[in-house]
Amino acid sequence: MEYRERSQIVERAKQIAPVSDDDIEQLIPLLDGVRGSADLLESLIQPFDGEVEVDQLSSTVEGDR
Amino acid sequence: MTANPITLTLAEQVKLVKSGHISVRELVQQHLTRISELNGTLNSFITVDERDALAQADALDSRLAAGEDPGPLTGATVGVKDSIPTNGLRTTDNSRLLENWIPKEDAKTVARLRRAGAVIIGKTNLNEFGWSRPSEADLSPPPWNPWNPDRMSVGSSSGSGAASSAGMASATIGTDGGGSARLPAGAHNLYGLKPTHGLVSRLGMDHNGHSEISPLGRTALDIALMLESMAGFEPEDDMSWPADVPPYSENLEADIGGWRIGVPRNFIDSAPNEPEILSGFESFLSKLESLGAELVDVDLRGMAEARAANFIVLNSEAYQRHQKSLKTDWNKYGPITRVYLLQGAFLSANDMLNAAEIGRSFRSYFSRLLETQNLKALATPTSPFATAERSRRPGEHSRGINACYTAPFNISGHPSISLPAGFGDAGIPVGAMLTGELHNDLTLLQLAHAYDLNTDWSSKTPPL
Repeated sequence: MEYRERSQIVERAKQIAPVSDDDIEQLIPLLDGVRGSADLLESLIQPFDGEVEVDQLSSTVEGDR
Repeated sequence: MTANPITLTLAEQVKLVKSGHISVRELVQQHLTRISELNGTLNSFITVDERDALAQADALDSRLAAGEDPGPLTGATVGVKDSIPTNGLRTTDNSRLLENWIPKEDAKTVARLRRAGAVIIGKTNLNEFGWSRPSEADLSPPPWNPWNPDRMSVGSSSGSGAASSAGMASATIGTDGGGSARLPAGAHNLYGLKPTHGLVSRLGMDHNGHSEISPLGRTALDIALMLESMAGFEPEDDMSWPADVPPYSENLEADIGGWRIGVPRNFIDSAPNEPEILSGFESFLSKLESLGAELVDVDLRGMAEARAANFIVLNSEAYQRHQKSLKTDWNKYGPITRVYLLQGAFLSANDMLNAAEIGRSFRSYFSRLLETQNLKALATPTSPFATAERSRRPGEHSRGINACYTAPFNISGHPSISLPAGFGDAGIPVGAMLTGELHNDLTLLQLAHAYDLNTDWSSKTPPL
């Protein structure tokens, strides 16, 4: 996920819709969750000759091993 | 004639109609009366077309009078989540964007229900577009839980849960993209099955490939009757599974003695479960054990990652579907919904493909776990929270904690059923969940039926 800075997020959001400052304030914390999920998944992807081994992944709701 | 047929189960209502003890019109009229008495308080339905429902009833009565058998759901009234298109019946998705949309076709599943003899009695309430958090500013205000009308119903198929449990319909259908049918089933003392991906066609629906159309009803038998009427191959649907549908309702009886049920204690202990959730879950496990099932502690992995993958896919698909309308009709969306829908605009194709790969890996892993441990199903609570208010706390809602047990099995496609498991302190029901092998929905229904016959949850009705 390439949108990490507030300025990038505001610029992208305004390209899409007439967002207000309030909308942006709601959106930013939601995107923290989206970014966390996207980064987590990207970190799990293996080299070309590897596979994701789920039995080595987390055992908790919060994603801890 | 039975004094109050709406207190009966769907199967019992159909039996009364087919035996001639009550006409379809009488049954439909009883449900319409119940809706008119309660809907002003509970907001379970967005649209009810009384004239159309009675016309469907009269057509069925004519067929019965002519000696025909209209099907396994003859005369049963079904409330349809208002995100599922219904021919000639307004379908709003609880959004001002679709406030006046009247579809010209039924979704395939609705058409199948009609062919099985069901009467579509109305359109049930939901979170706007099945997404977001409910708000009093929505086109239709949020539904209230019949078990405690001071509390909101859990969504997104909130109206479907409320309508079924309050006897406003024989059964209802919802959709489940991360738990949206199983969570309200649990919170309304109902059975709610998310079928195996592809078993029930989504043709006619608009987005969210892993959001399964799901029946909610008062008994496991009712769910089986609904599922066998809804399921089946639709050649125009590229996700539809090309296989015959077994007659679930005729095969429910099973001796579950010796059936191994996995219990992922470590994972469950890591969730922020409220005490009444754990109490209900332990009672549920005890009942299974008393029926001869063998409980097996299992080390379950990858649930958080699978939930994250499902979250990315849901966000991407929701934005893809709404990208044009967000630009042109921003102010017609609810203020929370439009921001939720915007999240997917910040994801890349690579993010979506990563999520799909993790989803595939988790699907293989979970099937392998069931096979290697010789498990018929995995048991968990349905939700860690006993009230809608707790599940919607912004910090926890945005991380999907309320869906920690349910969402992983959307991306994996495994069938999963919520069963009644007691009541919390606020008088709101709590659910327990069983998840089984792909295309083995029957095993879950057999377990649920054995549990149903040996508990009295399905005989309880809300104190309205």
